[in-house]
Amino acid sequence: MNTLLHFLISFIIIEIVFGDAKSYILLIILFSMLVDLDHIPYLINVKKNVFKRKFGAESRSFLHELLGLSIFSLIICILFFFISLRLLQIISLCILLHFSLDFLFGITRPLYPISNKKISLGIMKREFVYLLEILLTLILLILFLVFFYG
Amino acid sequence: MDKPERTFLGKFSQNFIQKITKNLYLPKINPNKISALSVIFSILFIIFFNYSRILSIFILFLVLLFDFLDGAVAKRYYKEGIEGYIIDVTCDRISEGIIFSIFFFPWFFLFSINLWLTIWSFYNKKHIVIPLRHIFLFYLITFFI
Repeated sequence: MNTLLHFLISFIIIEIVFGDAKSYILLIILFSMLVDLDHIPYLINVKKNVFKRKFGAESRSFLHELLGLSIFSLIICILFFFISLRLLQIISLCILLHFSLDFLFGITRPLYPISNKKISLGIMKREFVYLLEILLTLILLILFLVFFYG
Repeated sequence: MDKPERTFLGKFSQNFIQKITKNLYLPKINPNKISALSVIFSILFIIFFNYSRILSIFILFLVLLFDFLDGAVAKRYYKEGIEGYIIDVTCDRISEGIIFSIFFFPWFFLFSINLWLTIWSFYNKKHIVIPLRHIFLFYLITFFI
C-alpha cells in the first residue's frame, strides 16, 4: 500500500476513534509513514529506473516485520512513563495500521531476519490490489478533506 | 524452517477444537482469508467501541471466532504448514496490537510481551503465547456491560 494511503487510513480511523485527529495531524503523518523509511536504503542500492522499482518484500528491513513491531512496542511501553497516553495511543495505532495494511495486501517476510520466508495472504489478485489501492486512496482523500475542512 | 511445537495446553486446546468441529459443517475457504478477517474485524472493533459496547463485544467475539475457524478449516481441508502457522501468528499479534492500542495499560504491555514471546517461540521451536484477546473478552464482559 502506498504511503499516502497509510496516512489517510490512520487519520480517518483516529478521527473516528478519538474525534480529534486534526490536532495530531503532524504526529499521524510522521508515525504512519515512519516505517516506510526503511525503503530508502533499498532505493539507494538498487540502480534501476525509479518507476520500475517494485516495493516487494526485499525492499523492507526487519523494521517492517514482527521483530520491528516488537521493537516499536517496547519503545512505546517505555515512553508510557514519559509522555501522554493519548499521544501513545495515536502513535501505536498509526504504526499498527501500517503493519496491518502491508501484511494484508502485500508480500511480507514476517519472521525476517530469523527466516526469509515470503508470505502473501492472497486475499485478491495483484491487479485488484492495485485497483483497490487507487480507489481507496481517492475515496479516503475525499473523506480526509471533508474531515479536515468540514 | 520447522513449525514450533505446541505446549501441553496448546495441544489440549487443539484437540478440544478438533472434537468440537468434528461433526460441524465448515466452508472450504482459504484459511488465510479467515485470518485476514480477524485483523479487519479488530479495526472495526476499535471503530465501534465508543459507539456501542455490545456491538464491539460482539465484533471481538467474531474476531476470536475467525481465529478459531482458520485453524479448524486448515486442519480439515488443507495440509498444515509453516506458512499457515506464520500467517496465523502474525494476524493474531497485529489484531491484538490494534485492539490494545486504545486500551493501553496494561494490555499494550502484555501485547509487547506476547510479541517477544512469539519471536522466542520461533527461535526455540516451542509455541508459547498468552491468549490475550480471550482474557480481554472476559474483562470487557465483566467491566463494561
